[in-house]
Amino acid sequence: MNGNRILIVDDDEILRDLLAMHLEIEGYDVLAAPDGQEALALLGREPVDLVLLDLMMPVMDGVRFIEALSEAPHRPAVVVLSAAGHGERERSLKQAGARFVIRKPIEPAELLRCVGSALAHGA
Amino acid sequence: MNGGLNGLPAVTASLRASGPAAAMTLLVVLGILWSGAFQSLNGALYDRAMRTLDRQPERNVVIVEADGGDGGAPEWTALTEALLSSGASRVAFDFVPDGPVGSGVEGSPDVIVGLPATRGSGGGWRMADAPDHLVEGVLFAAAVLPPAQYGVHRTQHLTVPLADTVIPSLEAAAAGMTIADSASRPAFYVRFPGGADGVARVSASDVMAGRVPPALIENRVALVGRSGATGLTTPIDPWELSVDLLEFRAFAVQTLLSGRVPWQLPPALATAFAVAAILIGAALYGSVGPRHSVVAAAAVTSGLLVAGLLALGAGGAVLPVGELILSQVMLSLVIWRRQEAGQDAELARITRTIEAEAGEPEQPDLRGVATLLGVQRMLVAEPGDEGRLREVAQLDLALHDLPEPLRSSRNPAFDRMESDSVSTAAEGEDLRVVPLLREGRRVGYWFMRPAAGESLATRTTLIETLAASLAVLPGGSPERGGGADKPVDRALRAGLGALRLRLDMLQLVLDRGSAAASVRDLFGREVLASARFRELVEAAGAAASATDPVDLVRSLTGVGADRAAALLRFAIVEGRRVSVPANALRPQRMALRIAPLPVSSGTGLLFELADLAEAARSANARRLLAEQVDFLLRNDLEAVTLAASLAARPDLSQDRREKVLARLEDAVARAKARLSVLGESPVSNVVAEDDDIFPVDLVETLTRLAAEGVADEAEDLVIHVPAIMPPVLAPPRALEDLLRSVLRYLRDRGTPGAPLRIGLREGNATASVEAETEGMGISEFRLAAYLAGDREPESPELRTIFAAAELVPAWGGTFEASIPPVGRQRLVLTLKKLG
Repeated sequence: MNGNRILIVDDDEILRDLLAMHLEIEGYDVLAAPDGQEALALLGREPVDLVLLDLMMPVMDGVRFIEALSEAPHRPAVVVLSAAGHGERERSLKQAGARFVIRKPIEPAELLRCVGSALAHGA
Repeated sequence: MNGGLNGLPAVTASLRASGPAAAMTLLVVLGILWSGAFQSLNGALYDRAMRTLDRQPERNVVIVEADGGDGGAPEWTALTEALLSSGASRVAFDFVPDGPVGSGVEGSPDVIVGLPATRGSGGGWRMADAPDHLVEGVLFAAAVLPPAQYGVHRTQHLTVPLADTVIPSLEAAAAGMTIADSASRPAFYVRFPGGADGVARVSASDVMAGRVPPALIENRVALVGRSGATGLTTPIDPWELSVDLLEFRAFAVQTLLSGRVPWQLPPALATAFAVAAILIGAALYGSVGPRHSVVAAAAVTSGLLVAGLLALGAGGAVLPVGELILSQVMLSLVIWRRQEAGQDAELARITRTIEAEAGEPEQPDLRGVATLLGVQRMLVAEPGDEGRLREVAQLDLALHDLPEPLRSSRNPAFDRMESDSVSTAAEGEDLRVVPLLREGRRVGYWFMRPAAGESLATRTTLIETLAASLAVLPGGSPERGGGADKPVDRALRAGLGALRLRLDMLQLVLDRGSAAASVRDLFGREVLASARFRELVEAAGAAASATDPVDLVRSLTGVGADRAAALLRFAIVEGRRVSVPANALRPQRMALRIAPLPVSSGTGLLFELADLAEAARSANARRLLAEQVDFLLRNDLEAVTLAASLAARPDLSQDRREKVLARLEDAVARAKARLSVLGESPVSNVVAEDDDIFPVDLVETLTRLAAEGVADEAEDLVIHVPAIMPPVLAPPRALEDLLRSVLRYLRDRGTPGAPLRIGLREGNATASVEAETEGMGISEFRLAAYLAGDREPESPELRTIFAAAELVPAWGGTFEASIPPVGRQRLVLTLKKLG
C-alpha cells in the first residue's frame, strides 16, 4: 500500500474494472466514476492524488472535466487515456493541465510508469 | 364508392370519343328497328329460344275433331253438352256450326263460336254475320288467320277492330279474355310447348259416345274444329313441319291460358333498349382499345343473347335481339376502325417526330466517328439498283473515288470477307472495307482511307464497335436481302435505336443516382441530356447539343482534341469508365465521367458530370467510420491487453483471476459484436443513396450551420457543444436539411431579443441536439390540421420539419417538437451514436 489515491474516470465498465485491478495490485487506493460529472462530485467529497481520465464519455466528457477541474482549489494530477489521435488535441490537453496523454492500447508497465511519474511531480 | 366515382370521368371521356360512332350506329339501328327489317332474324331467334325453353307440353286445351259435323243440329248441341258435362271449362268452335250448339245451355258464355274475319283490300276488317240459329246463347269471336312473318306464323291477334267495334279473337275469347283484358296489346307471340304433339286431340264421335276419359276434357278448353284445313309454318320446325290452323289456335289458346304470354316489346321501350345498349357499348369499346374490342363485342353479344332468353323466359318480353346485336357489332367495328386510324395517325406523328429528332438519317454526320478513329476520309454505302453500290453517307470520300470493282455490290471479294472483321480491300493498299451487319445480315459497307503511314491494326475493337453503330445507316432491310426501304422506315429504326439508348441511359442514371448526365450516339448526336447536364455544359461555355463527343470532352475538361479522342477510344474499346477533372467548371469540384453504354450494339456513350463534393462527403463518412472503428477497437484492445497482463501475474489471487478472465471474455465478445454491426454499414458501398445512413459528425455539422449564418439573425445565439463526440448515424444530407430548418424556424419564430440556444448532449447510446427559443409557435388548430394532413405548412422549414418527423424513426432516432402558440419553442432531435 503506497497510500496514493487514484480516481479512474471512464464510461467503459470493463476497462474501469481492469485498470482498477492493476492499480490495486500495485498498492494504490482506487476510486471510479463513469463520467466527468460524477467524478467532479466524488472529488468534492474525497481527496484524490491522481485522475486517470478517459476523454470520450457521455454527460461530461474528459475535456470539459479538465476545464472544470482547473477551477477547483485542489487539483490532482491528470493522466489522460485516449483512443483518439495525438497532435493538436494532445497539446491542448496538456495546456489545460493533463500531465500525460497516453494513446490506447497502452502497456500496463507504461501505464504504471506514467502514473508513478505524475504522482511524483504532482498536479 | 371512390373507385366508381373515379371511373366516371374515364367513361365520360370514352363516350365523348366514341360519340360520332355511337350516333351513326343509333341511326342505323333505329331505322332497322322501326322498319322491321330484322323481323325474320328476330323470329328465327325466337323460334330457337322457344324450342330451347318450352320442351314440356301444357295440359289446358283439348282439340275436338268435328268428325261427322254434317250430321245436323242435335249433334252439336249434344257435343257441347257432352263436353261441358265432362268438365270442359269452355267450348270454342273454330267453324260456324250448321245448327244450334247450346241446347239446354242457351246463353252460357262458355260456348264460343268463331266467325270468319278477313282483312279487306283497304286494310279494314270484316267479319261474317252470325247465322240466325246461333244468335241466342253464344259468344261470337273473330276467327282470323294468324299473321305471318316471312311465311312463319308466330303471333296471333288478341282483338280485331271492326268498323264500329272491337271484337276478341277466337283464341282470346276461348281463353276467357275480355276486350278490356286485350285492349292494350293487339297481338301476342304463340308458344309451342311440347312441339307437334303438344296438344291433346280427340274426336267428337268418341266424346259423344263416352269413349273419352273425362280427365282429358276436365278443366280444359275444348277447341272444336276440322283439322287439315290450312297448313301453317310455325316455330316448331320452320323448314319442314307445318301444323294445321286448328292446332295453331290450340297452341295460341294454351299460351294465353298459361299466363306466360310473350309480347313484342313496345316500340318506345325497344328504342330505349337500343339506345342504352349503344351507349354502354360505346363506353366499353372506346375504353378497352382495339386489341380487346372484338372480345368485348363477343362478350356483349353473348350477354344480349342470354338477356333475350331471360326476358323471354322470365318476363315474357320479346327483345329486338337482332337489332341489339347488330348495334354492338357495328359499333365495335366502327370504333375499332376509328381507333386504328387514330393509332395510325399517332404512329405517323411519332415517325415525323423521330425524323425531326433523329435529323436526316440519309445524311448522317460521320465527323464524330472520324475523329474517334483518327481517319478523316470515309464512306458508307449500301447495295443499290443493278448490283451497284449506293452512297449513304460520306466524309471526304465518294463512290467514284473507289476502284471500279469495289463499286459493285456483286463483287466476289465482298463475299469472301469475314462478316465480323476488318478486311483489306483487294485493290488499294490504303483502303479498308468493313461489312456492316444488322441482325446478322449484311446491309452495307464502310470504306475508310487512313492517312498515309497510319495503321488501324491496333484499333480493331474500336472499328467493330463503330461498325455496329454505322450499320443503322443503310436502308437495306435484312429480311429483304438488301432492298431499299422507305425513308420513314429508316427514321423509325433510327428512332427506335435512339429510344433504346434513352432507356439504357435512364436505367444507368437511376442506377447511379446521377443527376447530370447525357447520352450521345457515336455520330455525336445527343440522344438525351438532363437539364442539369445542359446547364453545366453551357456554364462551361459550350452548346450542350451542338458539340460532338470530342468537342464536349475538350470544352469540359480543357484537354486537347487528341487527348479527348484518346479518352473516348479508351472508354469504347476497353468498355470501362474514364474520369477526368471538369476543369472548365471550376470553382465547382466536378469530374467528367465517360462510360460506354452496356447495350448489345454498343452504340452510345454516357457522359456524367459528378459532383466531387458529394464524393468528398462520402469519403468523409468513410473517414469518420474508420476513426470510430479505430477508437472502439483500441478500447477493446486495451481491455484485452490489461486483462492478459493481469492474468499473467503469478501473484494474482484466484478470485481476481476469475474476475479478470470474465472481463476478458466480455471484452472479446463486445469487440466481435461491434465488428459485426459495423460490417453492415452502408459506408462500404460505392454508391450512396440519399437515404443511406452514414456516420455524421454532429459537432462539425452544427458548428458549420451556425457559421453559415442560418442562425446569425437571432439576437443571441448560444451554442453548447462538447469538444469531442462520436459520430451519429443519419443520412448526411437529410440531417443537414433538418438541422438547418430547425435553426431557421426558431430564428424566424423567436421574439426579438430572445436568445436561440443550441445544445448537444451525449447519452449512453444516443446524442441529442436541443434547440430552443422564446417566441410564437403554431395554434393548436393549425397544428392539428398539419398533423392530420389536412393542410400543408406554408413555411418550407416547417414542411421539412414535419417531413423529418416521419423519417427520423427510420434512422433509429426520435424527434420531439414543442411549439406552443406562445412561449418556449423547443425542438429535440435524438440520434443513435455510432458503435
